[in-house]
This record gives sequence, structure tokens and C-alpha cells, in this order.
Amino acid sequence: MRTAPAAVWTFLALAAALARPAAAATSGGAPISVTIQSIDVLSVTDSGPLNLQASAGSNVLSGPADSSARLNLSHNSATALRITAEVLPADDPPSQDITLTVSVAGGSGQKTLVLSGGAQGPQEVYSSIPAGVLTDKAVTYTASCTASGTKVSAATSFDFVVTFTTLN
Amino acid sequence: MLGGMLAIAAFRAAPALAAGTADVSVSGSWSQTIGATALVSGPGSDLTASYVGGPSDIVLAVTINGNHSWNVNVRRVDSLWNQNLNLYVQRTSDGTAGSGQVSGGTAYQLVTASDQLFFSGTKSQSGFAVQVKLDGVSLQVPPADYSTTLTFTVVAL
Repeated sequence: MRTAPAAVWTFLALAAALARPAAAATSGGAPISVTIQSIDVLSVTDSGPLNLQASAGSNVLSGPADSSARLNLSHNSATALRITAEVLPADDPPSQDITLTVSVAGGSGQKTLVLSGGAQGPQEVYSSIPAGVLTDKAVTYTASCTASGTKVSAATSFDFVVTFTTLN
Repeated sequence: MLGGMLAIAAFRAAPALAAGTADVSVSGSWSQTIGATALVSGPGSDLTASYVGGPSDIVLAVTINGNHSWNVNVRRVDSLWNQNLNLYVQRTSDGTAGSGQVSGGTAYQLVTASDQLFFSGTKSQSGFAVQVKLDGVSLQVPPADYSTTLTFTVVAL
């Protein structure tokens, strides 16, 4: 029986140990890309009518608020958003003493959009909205006018267009 | 005595030399663009959370000398990634060429930054189709172009 010297076995063991890592594993890659686009989508549905009436001897006409409109928002901005509402002058029926207010459930409270016939500019109705959603938030409008400042010969409808805008 | 221990060590290590030149080739890629059209039900709703690639968007081939066994491991090498995004892979075919065996990898498994066993086999084989799934997408993930590389490593056994 022949045996190899210890030095020979040592050489073989070292050779095997050194050879194994280099030969055992190779890699390949497949690129994966995911693009998340900027999302800022706001919708507000139309309100119902606001019917204004005066009691005998009163110059002020008023009526029940309308809360049938709904606001929905989805956004993924890294910074919180806010929402403003305004009646643009072009959308404001002229020469009528009408006051229009708006509020959004969970928002910044009641804001006056039109005061005695004059558009008040952008009003913040919701602040500090982090990335995520606002779902089915009730939008409440109120209106009033004066008999002396809103002269009509028969029941008349005045239409306002309220523009909601998201801002950083 | 010392000579005997060295002899055993050499005997155990020797088969790795025979396994020799294991190699994996990878072809294909996967991309997904997610925008407002992915909102579940329009404004006021969140994004669809999960997306699935085609069943053979990525194809692997393993080459190895002789009848030796091998493992394919998988990991993610990120360029830009978001911790909310989870990437999964599954093997959708047993290969289209080669006489070896294959097992494992036929259910979605989460891919992390560390090597994990994906599937195993014997001999050289090609045409392993791989499907990718992404979940964890929501409006909480800031807009950006996220990218990573699915890195497959074949280990000769």
C-alpha cells in the first residue's frame, strides 16, 4: 500500500478550496423599472339649487343650505396639498346683491366666495392634505341676497361656477 | 494523523472541481408605468396595489458540465427603490431544452436584497420562463422612476 506524503494532500486540499469559489457561481441580471407618475386628481360634483325666499317685511332672502355636492381627491405629492375655491369674475352674475359661501366637510370651515355680488378670490377650503385620498367629502353651499339689491320681475335662477384648485 | 485529515478534506472538496463551469444566462426585462388611470375608482380612491408581468418576460438558461446539480438564487440589486414596493418572481416553465430535472420556484416568492434559493435542477437546461409581480403600490409611494435588477446566480453543487 502506498501513501502520499502529507505535503501532497495539503496541496490538493488547498487547490480544491481555492478552485471552488471561482467555478461555483455566476450571475446574470434582468432590469426592472417601475415609473410612478405624479398624480393630482380632484373632482367636485354639481350642487343642487339654493332657493331663496323672504319673509314678509324682510329685505333679506335666504334658504336652506345645499350639501349634495361631493369632493374627491387622490394625490401622491411629497408635499401636502391645499384646496382653494373661487368664483371667477366671469362666472359671477353681475349687478346682483348675492352672497355665496362654501365649506367642505373636514376642511377649513365656511368661506365666502361672493359677497354682495362681488367675487372674493381664491378661498382656502381644505389645508394640509398629505399624500392619499379625500373621499366623498360633502360640499355645502349657502346663499342669501337682498330684495333691494336683486331686482327681478319673476323667479330667476342665477348660476355660479365655483372652481376648486389644488395647490402646494 | 494529520495526513489522514488532509486526505479527507481533499476527498470532500474534489467534486467541486468537476462541477466546473456553471453559468446562467438571463434575457428579458420588465417595466411598469403607473399613473392616474391606475386609480381603483377614479378621484378619491387609491392606486391598484398589484401588477403582474407576462409569464415569460424573463428567460433563464443554465449551463453546467455533465450531470451535476445546481441551484439558482435570486436577489434584488437596487438603483432606486422604495421600501413599500415588493417584487416577487415565479418560474412559469420547466424549461424548453435539456434533459435534466428541475424543481421549486413555481410559487411567487419575495425578492430581497439577499440571495435566496429560487429553484434547483440538474444538467444544462434552457428556456426557464420567469414571471414578475409587483405589489405595495399606493399613493404613499412618491412619484419617481424606480429601478432594480433581478440578479440570478447559479451555484454548482
